[in-house]
Amino acid sequence: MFYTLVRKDLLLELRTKEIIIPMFAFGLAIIMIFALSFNASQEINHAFSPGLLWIIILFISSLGLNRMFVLEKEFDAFTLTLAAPIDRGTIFVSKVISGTILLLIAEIMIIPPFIIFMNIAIPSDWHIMILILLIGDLGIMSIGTIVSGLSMRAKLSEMLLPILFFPLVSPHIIACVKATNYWFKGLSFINWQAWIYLMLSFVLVFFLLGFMIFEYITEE
Amino acid sequence: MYTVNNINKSFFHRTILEDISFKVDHGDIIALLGKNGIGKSTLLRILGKISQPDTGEIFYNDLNICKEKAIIRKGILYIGHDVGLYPSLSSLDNLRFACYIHGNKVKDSSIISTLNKLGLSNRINDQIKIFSKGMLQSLKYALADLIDWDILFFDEPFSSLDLKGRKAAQGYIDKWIVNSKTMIFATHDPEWSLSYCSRLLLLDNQKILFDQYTNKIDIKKIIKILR
Repeated sequence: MFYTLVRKDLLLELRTKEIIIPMFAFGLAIIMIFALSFNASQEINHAFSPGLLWIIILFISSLGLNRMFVLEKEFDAFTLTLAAPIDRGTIFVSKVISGTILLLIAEIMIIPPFIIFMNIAIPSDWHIMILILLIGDLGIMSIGTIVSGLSMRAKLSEMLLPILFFPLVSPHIIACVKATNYWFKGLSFINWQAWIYLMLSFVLVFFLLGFMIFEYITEE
Repeated sequence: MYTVNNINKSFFHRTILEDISFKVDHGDIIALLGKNGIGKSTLLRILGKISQPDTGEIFYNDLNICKEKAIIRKGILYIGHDVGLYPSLSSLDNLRFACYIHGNKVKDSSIISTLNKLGLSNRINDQIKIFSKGMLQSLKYALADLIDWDILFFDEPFSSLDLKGRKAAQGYIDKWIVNSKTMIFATHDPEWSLSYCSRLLLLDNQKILFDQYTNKIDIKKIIKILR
């Protein structure tokens, strides 16, 4: 059942291309603005780039979440899923996973231009960055799916989403920035693993919270 | 089969449904009648577990659908007055997905055959957002035909259908009646209700005004109330 729900979300994106392409275009635009307006040295770019990267990820994830739930609202399509004999927690988990997959794809497209335009050198152990991105994205999507579920039936859902989402996700984003910053500096993982644990705690708390309360969030 | 006990529902402090109670037995075909905005769709959404009642309980095969696990709702099919399908997916994708999430693994050939019966076989791979309202309504019948349900909640079954579409839709309803299926239709058509439904449930002033078997009802009385 879970696989069917994730497959449907990915199929919707394959048919519409309304999530990844706007995320990529928006992310690229922010990168260009940062790169051209700062015109800073490589050292300064290096110091600021973890924060800039996660701001970009935050903005594009907000855009992606909004589109994901708009696709559910059109033709009252979400009713089809809600009416089925599926636990709402399973629907939540499927949304988090499909959202994370779509965000990861957008990041794969955005990070190369980010590295090029910000003129930064990345450490060779990039697999650690993949781990940071994966945990970061899971946290963003767990929080974002709860907030999107809450705001989707509201009249001003497009406005309500960032208003609720940004303050809630901020501590998690700060942990992501810290972890990325230490990785950029090339410090040994042992020295900054606490930030990874903090990110994992956010993922765990909001993932379980969403799983438990999505039933009530989606009720009319 | 389905027991509704003391359902209450309000939106923004406005009471829509008040103390609604009734029982549905196997094979009942119920027409839910009432004026616009009286709460027919809200009641169907509550019965289909889309919406949550403020108070009250609903039992399906003696299990409380508001408290038990979702799997106990297998066999309940809700079809709303809105399309309730994904506009960016094709009719084949939509029906395949709908069947899967209702626990029915249906072959593509069966879906195509059903679409063929409804005159939609040449639009199988088209995104349904380009379909007319009548075609979308026909898709709902394809959905109901492919899914193995025990009780169907159908909101406005004939909306937007032309004569040919209505005939096809009536054909499906007739088939379900022959198979002793249990159905609740929210409709504005008292004449059709008296002809095809076994029971009539009339909503007025947030309550059930009357709940009677159709062979005991005077149509003039109903039309007078609905006016």
